[in-house]
Amino acid sequence: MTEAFVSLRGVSKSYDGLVRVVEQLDLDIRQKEFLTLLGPSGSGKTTILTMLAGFETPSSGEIYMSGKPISHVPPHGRNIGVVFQNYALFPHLTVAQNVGFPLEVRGVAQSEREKRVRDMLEMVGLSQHVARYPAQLSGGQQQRVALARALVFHPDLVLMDEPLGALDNALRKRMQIEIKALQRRLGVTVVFVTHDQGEALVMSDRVAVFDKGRIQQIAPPQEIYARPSNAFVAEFIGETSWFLGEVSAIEGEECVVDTPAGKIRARAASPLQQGALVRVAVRPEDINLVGPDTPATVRGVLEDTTYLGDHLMLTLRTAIGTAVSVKAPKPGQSNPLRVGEEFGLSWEAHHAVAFAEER
Amino acid sequence: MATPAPFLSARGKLVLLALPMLLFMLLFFFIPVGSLLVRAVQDPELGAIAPNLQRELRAWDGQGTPPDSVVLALRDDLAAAQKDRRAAIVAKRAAEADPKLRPAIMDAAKASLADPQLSVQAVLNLDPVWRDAACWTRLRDVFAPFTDRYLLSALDLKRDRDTQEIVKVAPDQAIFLATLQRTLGVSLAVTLICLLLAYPLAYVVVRQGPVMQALMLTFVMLPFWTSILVRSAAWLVLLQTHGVVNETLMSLSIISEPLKLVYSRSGTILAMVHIQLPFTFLPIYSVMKSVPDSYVRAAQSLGAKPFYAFRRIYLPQTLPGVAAGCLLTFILCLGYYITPALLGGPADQLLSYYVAYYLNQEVNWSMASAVALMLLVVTLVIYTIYARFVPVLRQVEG
Repeated sequence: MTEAFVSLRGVSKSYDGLVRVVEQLDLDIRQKEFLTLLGPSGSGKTTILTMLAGFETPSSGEIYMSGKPISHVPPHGRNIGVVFQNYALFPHLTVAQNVGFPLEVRGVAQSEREKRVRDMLEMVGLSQHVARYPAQLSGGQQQRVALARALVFHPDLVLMDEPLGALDNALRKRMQIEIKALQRRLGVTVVFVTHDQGEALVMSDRVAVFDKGRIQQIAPPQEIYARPSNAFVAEFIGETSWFLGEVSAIEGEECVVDTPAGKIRARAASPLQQGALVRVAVRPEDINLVGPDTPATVRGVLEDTTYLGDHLMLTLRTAIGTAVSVKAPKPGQSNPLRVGEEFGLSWEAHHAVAFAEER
Repeated sequence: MATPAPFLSARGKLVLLALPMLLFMLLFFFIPVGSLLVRAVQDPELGAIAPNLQRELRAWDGQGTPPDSVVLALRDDLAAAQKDRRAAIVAKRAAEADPKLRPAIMDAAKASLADPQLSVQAVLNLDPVWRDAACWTRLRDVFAPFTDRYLLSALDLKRDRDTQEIVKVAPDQAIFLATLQRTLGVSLAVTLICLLLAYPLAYVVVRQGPVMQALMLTFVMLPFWTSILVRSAAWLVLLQTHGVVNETLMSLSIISEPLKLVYSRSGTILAMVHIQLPFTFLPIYSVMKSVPDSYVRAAQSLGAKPFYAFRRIYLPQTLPGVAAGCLLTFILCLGYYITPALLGGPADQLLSYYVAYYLNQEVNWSMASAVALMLLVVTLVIYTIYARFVPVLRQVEG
């Protein structure tokens, strides 16, 4: 495995000396990887970015870059590119001047500067707009300028703070792919902050899920989705239905959970004791809908169907009132699903994950 | 079904909304100021004393000798004026055009009063002046209802008595251009000092929390809420020869004799800066508030050292506020009256002082209007030049 390029060791940050926004964080960022910090607002992900950029210093702990501590290096001495949430393009400078700014600061000669700005703008597809001012550009174009500006000086690390938040859905999807392609092509290390799980899954080599200032799980996207290490990650990534129950038997990796809706077999996310209170998570796409007479894990009444183009999202309610989401293919004309009908719900045991719950 | 046409078009509604303000401006600003400024070129003095003579002289084309009606009007009006002892005013004004006219008019006035039925020929025989067509032409010019003499003297110029060409007045009478220069100089100094004080202050205030910001704003605004007269008088108390400042400095043995802080240029500028500071501060502050921190952060993350980021990124974005604040202060300073009058010496008075002087002391409305007109024109010229260059700075807004 590639060794850590940037390391955070025991980093904590508190603005008021009482609440810690970031708690005892250890994080390694590998060379040339696309690492996403994902979490709800207030989870500390932006604070970490701010400390990496050098706008804030950790209250304790240290940040190392290529083995050297950088906590007290000012932002302008770090060679880190930042793409801000609102882009922060300089409104009084043209596109070319904006992109040329980091080179101008570094004393790059005029001709060399112009060439690099031109190449960079071509790379982000903005060669025609060099003489415009930021206010004359669309949101997507501003985004590209901000990107070009953060990359043109070959930074060691690029930080992006929810850069796609202001774009419409279609453009966001396109930019996700473009940014990812650009990152691979330039071989640059990116730390990307977002609260959009879809974005995190699409773009990242690794995703770090944050909550309450701590990393809940850090892993490649597939693993985060398929094997969430705790209930928060399971809840935050993708859609999940939950069953609360008590462990009645343990069989190796798997356990049997007694829930009011019935007995459920599930994989234990962590070692469990018999009699432990657990929550069992099941993904909508792992649940099969069967007829009312076929044997099934639990039963429920169809309450609502949501049409999503290529599939349906069904909401069923069990006898004890638990709501369950099920992803279903579009039904044929012959057997439409009727609200109020009873169905059986079944899934393979390894698709259900049991998380220990505090008593 | 066709929708009924609205009672008023959108534009019509806007005009209607603006109408009260437009009417107010017209009635209480444009008409009064306009009619006052007209006084600068009007010469109502002689027309009031000798209305018939003025009317007859203006009716005459000024060629050759005047018709009898002019001579008779001269006889009657001068007789009436002499009765009120005002003929001397006519004589004095006429003498400015031709000294020979003064004794001729006084003699004519006395003769006319003595014999109201004096014939035309008798009047013409009173003095050789009346048989000289050129003298009548000059008298006709003296009675012109409009004149440029006030405007010229506001520029330290006058018409030469003989050639009628525009010449400079004697150096000991030239006061207005020097005063204008002083007004511009003091205004510029006050504006620059205000800028040097307000810009860093606004920078600090913008970076405080909401409570601290409100508190600091209150302190900045405090002088704003006190009358200029009160503040100028307060400065007088502080700065006078045996005032608080001098007494304190002397009791601390820092100085051995009182500093001349009042009735001086420095005292005037000090008090004006104090009064103008909020005017400079507020536009800068409001523009700074609209410039997010992320710009300077972005500049620094891109490698700019703090001062470079300030100079290249922050400063240009705050220039519209600087431009607005400085323009406001400079133009307000041009019209200062009370503060220099209270705290300045005779050599520190600004143009407004002369407007007040001619109104209150000399009761010469025309001269007051001419000086006021000069101040207005200078202000407009400066504003135009400024507006020509400020958009270049404002291009930053895209």
